[in-house]
Amino acid sequence: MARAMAPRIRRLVSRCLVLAAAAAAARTPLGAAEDPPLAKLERPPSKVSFFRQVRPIFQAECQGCHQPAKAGGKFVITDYSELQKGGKSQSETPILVAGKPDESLLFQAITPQEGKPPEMPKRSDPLSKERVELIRRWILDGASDDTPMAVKSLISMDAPPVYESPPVVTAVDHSPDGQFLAVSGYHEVLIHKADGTGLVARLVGLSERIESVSFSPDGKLLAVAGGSPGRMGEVQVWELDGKKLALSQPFTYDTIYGVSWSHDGKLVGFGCADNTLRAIEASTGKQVLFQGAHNDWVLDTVFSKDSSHLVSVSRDRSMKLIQVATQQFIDNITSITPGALKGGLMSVDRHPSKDELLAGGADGIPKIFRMHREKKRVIGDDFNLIRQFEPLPGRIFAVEFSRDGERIAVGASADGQGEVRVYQAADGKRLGSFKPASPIYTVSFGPDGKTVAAGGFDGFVRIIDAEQGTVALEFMPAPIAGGSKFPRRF
Amino acid sequence: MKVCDVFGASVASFLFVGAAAGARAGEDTARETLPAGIQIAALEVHPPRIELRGRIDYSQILLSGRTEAGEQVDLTRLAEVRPAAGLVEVSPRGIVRPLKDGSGEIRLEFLGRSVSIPVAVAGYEAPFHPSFIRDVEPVISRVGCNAGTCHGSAQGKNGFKLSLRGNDPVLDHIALTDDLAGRRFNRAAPDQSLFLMKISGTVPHEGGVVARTGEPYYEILRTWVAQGVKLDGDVTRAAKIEVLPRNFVIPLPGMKQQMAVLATYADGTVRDVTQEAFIETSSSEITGVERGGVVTALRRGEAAILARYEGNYAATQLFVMGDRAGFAWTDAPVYNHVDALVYKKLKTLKTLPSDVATDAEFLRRASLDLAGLQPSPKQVRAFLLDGRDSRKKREEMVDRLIGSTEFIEHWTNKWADLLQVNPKFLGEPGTEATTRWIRQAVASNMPYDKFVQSVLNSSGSTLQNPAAAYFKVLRQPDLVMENTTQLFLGVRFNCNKCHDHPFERWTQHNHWEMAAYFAQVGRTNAPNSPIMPVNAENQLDGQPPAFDEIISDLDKGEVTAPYSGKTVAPAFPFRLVTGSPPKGSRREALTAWITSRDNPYFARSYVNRIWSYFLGIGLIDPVDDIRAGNPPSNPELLDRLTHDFIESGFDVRKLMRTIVTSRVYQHSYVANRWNEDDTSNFSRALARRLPAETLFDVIHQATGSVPRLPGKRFGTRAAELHRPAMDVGDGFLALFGRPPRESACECERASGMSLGHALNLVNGPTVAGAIRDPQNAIADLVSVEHDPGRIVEELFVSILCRMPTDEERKKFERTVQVSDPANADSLNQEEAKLLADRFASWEKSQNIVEWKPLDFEIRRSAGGATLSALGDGSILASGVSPDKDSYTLAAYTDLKGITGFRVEALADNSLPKKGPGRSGSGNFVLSELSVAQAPVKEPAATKPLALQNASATFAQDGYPAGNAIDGKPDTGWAIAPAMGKNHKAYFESKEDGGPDGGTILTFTLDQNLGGQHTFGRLRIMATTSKRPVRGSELPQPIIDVLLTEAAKRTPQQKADLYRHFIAQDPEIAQKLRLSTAQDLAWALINSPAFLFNR
Repeated sequence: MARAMAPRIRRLVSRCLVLAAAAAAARTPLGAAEDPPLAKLERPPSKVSFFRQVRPIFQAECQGCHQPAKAGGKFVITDYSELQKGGKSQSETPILVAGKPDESLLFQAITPQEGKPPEMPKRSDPLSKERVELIRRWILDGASDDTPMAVKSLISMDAPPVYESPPVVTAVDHSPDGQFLAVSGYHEVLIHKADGTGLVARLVGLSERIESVSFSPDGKLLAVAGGSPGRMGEVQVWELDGKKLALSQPFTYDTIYGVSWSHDGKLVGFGCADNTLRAIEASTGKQVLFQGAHNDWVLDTVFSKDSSHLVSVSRDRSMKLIQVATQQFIDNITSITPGALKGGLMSVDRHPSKDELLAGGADGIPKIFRMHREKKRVIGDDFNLIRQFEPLPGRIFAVEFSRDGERIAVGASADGQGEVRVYQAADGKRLGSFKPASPIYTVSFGPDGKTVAAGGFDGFVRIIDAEQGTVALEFMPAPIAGGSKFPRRF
Repeated sequence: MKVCDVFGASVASFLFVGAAAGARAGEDTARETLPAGIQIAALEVHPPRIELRGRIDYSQILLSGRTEAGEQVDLTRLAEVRPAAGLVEVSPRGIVRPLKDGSGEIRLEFLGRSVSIPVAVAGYEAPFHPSFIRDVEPVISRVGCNAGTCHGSAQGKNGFKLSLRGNDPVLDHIALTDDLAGRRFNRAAPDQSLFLMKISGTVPHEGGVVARTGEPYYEILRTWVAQGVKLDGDVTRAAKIEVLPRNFVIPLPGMKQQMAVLATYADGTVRDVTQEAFIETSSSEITGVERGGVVTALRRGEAAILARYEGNYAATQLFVMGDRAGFAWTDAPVYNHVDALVYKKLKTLKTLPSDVATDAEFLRRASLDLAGLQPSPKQVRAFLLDGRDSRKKREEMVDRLIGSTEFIEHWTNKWADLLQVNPKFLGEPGTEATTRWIRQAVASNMPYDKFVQSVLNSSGSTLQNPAAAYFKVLRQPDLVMENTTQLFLGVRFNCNKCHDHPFERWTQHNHWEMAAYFAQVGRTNAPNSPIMPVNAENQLDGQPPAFDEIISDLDKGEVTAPYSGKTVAPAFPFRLVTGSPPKGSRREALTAWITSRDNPYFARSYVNRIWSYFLGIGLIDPVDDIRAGNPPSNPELLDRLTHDFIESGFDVRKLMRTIVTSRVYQHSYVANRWNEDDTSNFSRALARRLPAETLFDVIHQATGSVPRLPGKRFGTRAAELHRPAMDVGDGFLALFGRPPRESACECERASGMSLGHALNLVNGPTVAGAIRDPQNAIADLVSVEHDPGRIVEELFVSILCRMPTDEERKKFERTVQVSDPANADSLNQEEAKLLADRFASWEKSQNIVEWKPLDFEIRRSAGGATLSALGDGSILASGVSPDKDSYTLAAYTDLKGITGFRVEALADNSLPKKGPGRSGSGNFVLSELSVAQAPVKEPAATKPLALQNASATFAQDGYPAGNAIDGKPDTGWAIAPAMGKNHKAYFESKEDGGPDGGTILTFTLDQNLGGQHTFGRLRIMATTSKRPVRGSELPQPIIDVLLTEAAKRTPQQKADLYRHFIAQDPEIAQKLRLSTAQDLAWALINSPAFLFNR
């Protein structure tokens, strides 16, 4: 049953993490009747298992601090292979010496040394005697990794995910020719015909969660930002012809957000949960921009018309302008007056023909800004603001300009309800409005600007008439096992 | 075949082993035993029957044994448990969980006794649909996600914020399902949900592993995700919880008690939530609590066990008895129902009350508590001398104190604190006016409900109708509300301003609903009233208001809840049992609700507050933090006092009288063996440090020093200072914790005793100034009273308000004894220097002449009298008493360089009128004295030794001593009329007498007057001291001391000398008397008996 992973997908994450996640994913289908009985204690086997016995201790007691995102003591315990390397104490005592607990720093750290209490875990009770003994025996036995090969790879292009329930739709994008709709799935991007008549392709990759999808300007490539929450981030670039994963590049230890293309299709920009804004070459994955001006997660990006600048929005409430060539921070496009910024910004888009930016976020108010400052900043100004639309209830998750720049679409969520609204960009006049019983996290205008594709919490994609606010089409993008929903036309 | 099935088995097994590795999850199964000597007579079990509905339902068994002595002990973990096979399993701690549907029973056995619980299980196989509110939130709370230190903190953690302790399920649902586009859950692959991977440690989590896959909590959360992360809008949280057992006693430290918590829902269903509830102790010194609700007794004492579950709170009292072998209850007299209810509880706690305090202690205590002053010495003496029945005279004294001028001042001050009567808010005129209004209310004993209604309902000018000044002090609806609830209901509604109350059921919404009642209070500047000066302190909402403002009710004004941005309509947090909904303006509606007889907090909180003023600790403590988790120590007593207070028409003085005339109030502070550890059940008086103003006033009262407060009329008491910013020179009042009057919290007043306080009392200017005040009563006292014993007594009565004991009197008499050299230390530097100077110059000024006795071997009387030597160097004439005589006396001496002689005429009983002469009147006349000397080697070579500079200690008019050496036989030295006494006459030799080798001295004393004016008894001594030979008149022992080289004097000699010096210097003596009395006063003031009310 073991299946080979897509060969080009680099293994990014420690085996144990992939394993545990996958193993847990592979649990029984839903329904309480089939759940295992409540916890019963089993006698441990005589030979200590890293996989079953030691790893859980590391997970419980150590990896909160010794994880890739933090790496206390420059030492990471989430990956068996990292154990062999060790952290800052490398030059002195090795972390792990097979067969010799007393020479292993790992063991020294959890046992009393020279009358002092154990060094680790810091700010917590020492490990129980039983746990220390398990670790001692494991090292004594050779400190081997007994993780079964069988569980190391589970989902791939050849073994796409099986759905019991729909995943949340976090991203939709129309192909430039309007033929296709890319929709986020679990572990994959689903390419549908834009009229809802069929699933064209399943682009299965390593990332469990897809945060953002974007067709290249020429429509030949699809950039995907995602990753596995709390573990790794990844940018994928797919060649749509041949469903080929042209690039898989890991970044940071959490999912990647807000992927965007430069006008010439050469660069891909994106934001990260380590508060950085980055851009890479789409063909090579080489990082060409790295910017740390934000102080919270960077959630969306867009290039200027000539791609000389990259704009980012962040949970830190600000929108920032960065020069691509120099990687320099140029300006805060939003006001910097204390108290002026309310709630994080979650989505940004650029007018198709002007350097004007549409942004929305937690305060529920869509706003259009000019990208480049024309007046010197004075205290208290919000000079770049061009237009402010009526507020939506709740939080805005998605904004987009229509391809002619005449309209904007906004997707929002409030107390379990969603809303899609379309406005005239020029005067803020509201056109259609649609309120599904599901928060909306993503919107994408059809090529003619007359429809908007929207997705969100409930996993459906809906094609909405931009003027009427009616649903033209509704379908479940994920192929649900045992009777997937056929599209409904209204 | 799905991928998941392949790994199902192995995954399950690793999960369970993983759980085993997590030792924290397991129950401590160490076997308990009952302490020796506890015999179980009967078993009792809770619940009487168990119905388990569904797979995750459980029930906590409480098995208790009743002992022969009537005690209750927990046997839950000690019994043999036999559940119906396969139906349920029972954990070592008595948690019953289902295994399949069916019915049967659980049998519990302990030492031959047994009891059974019928059990029914239904719905075990039914699909489980966890509800977010009912099932998921309690798990999130229990595993700690929403704790204040984790995601429940105001900023959340790592970008993920939950409501504190799950008080807002809707917000939590949004955080879990909607934040970052549903990042935290994964419906398509539930176990891949980020939050599940975090709590199970699959993904690194700084909060650690809090639930493991396969465990019930994990499964509840996972199932909820798999079923679509729904928020079930119609499900409500538990309506109330109950904690069991109630008000229980654990016999001995080390023993344990299992608790159970039951939640009741709106539909009436009851669910065991012991495992999810938070069970805590109010005192970790008395008990420990383990997760799962096992309470361990640590030491004797009382604690509250608090349970919290999903916004509900319940508490019960627990008492750890400890070893009380030998205890026997004896009924103490009961003065009123306060005593009956206090003693009822003391009896169950095996605590014996102290005796009643002495009359003096009572008088001081009651005066301080009721009037803020000590009794005067006169009152003390009168009270102590009053020989009537003690209880009767005490009650009379209470009646006299209540309503006295001092009483009115004292309680006016108290209310001025609580109402923040502070020029910072009101200006001087407003402060004066409001204080006057309060004084009038106190003086007229305005019923408490009327008083509060006046404060809360008043409108108009804050100067004309000063009760309205409450709304001048407090200006924002939320702040007025917080202050009002804390002050008049004893409830802290400020905690739930930013989040739901962490220890009570009050929600954040309650806060804003209540605040809305004050949203329509109008404040406009009175016409022509000057504007208050601009300063940071009075700029309460931007602009400084006028000194006089007009308070009114407007028909508009709302509050906006910051969390929703919406206006909130006024609503009460709970409905009163009876009464129609209040009408009128918002303020009036609220006031009616607050001051209603049926409001469970209004009368009760004030009764509790008053109680705390007199007993040192509230029945609920702190007094303004009434909540479920802070139960009263004696609920019955509080209920009874509250009931009486309401029935009396909110008569505050009557309430005070009830408390102060109870025997409980009159307990001595002296503990007995059986109550020394009691601090909360009133078995003995608690010593309370005097409040700042009282302490200041009493220091002045006790010393009789009139305080001079800056800018105030002479004699103004600190209790009358209505301006918190004003203090005495050294900041005494602030140091000792006078409230700054910036909040209504009782905690504004500090009552501690620290090093800083002690240093101020010992060294600071307040005490020193009062004691040293030259106009004070101590100065008056020592100016008229020199008797040390009386000085001691007076100081005791003035300062400690009691007579000294004999032992104290004896001990302190020495302290104020001026002639004791040790007491010279009491002088200040200047005085000490004066004393030293004067002592030195006195000593230096003394002319000490050392007189050497002469042994007259030859004693001849020309007239035939018999002259006999008496052994002390004196010579007594007897026998023939001729009309005139001439004595010739000769003696041998080794003295060289003789400079003079002293002739002493000595009284003697054998002489007429005791002499010293032999005449009928006792007089004599020494007509001529002449001295001759001859070397021993040549006795015949006699040469006269000429005399000069005669003087006498006493001489008769016309008969000076010089007459005896003037060569005239008809003149002489005589001593009338001072007969019967000793006299001395001094004569210098013109040249030094006494050549080398020894000398024979021959004295001739001619007494020619006739009429038997001859010496009866006399003594002659010689000296070699330098002239003049008439030295200082000092007692011989003092002369002996002075003749001793200073370094060689014995302590006794030094003391004698000092005493002699002091006795002859009244000015120094008076200074010493004052300073020693001041020292004693200082010591008494710095004693706990003075600083504390006890």
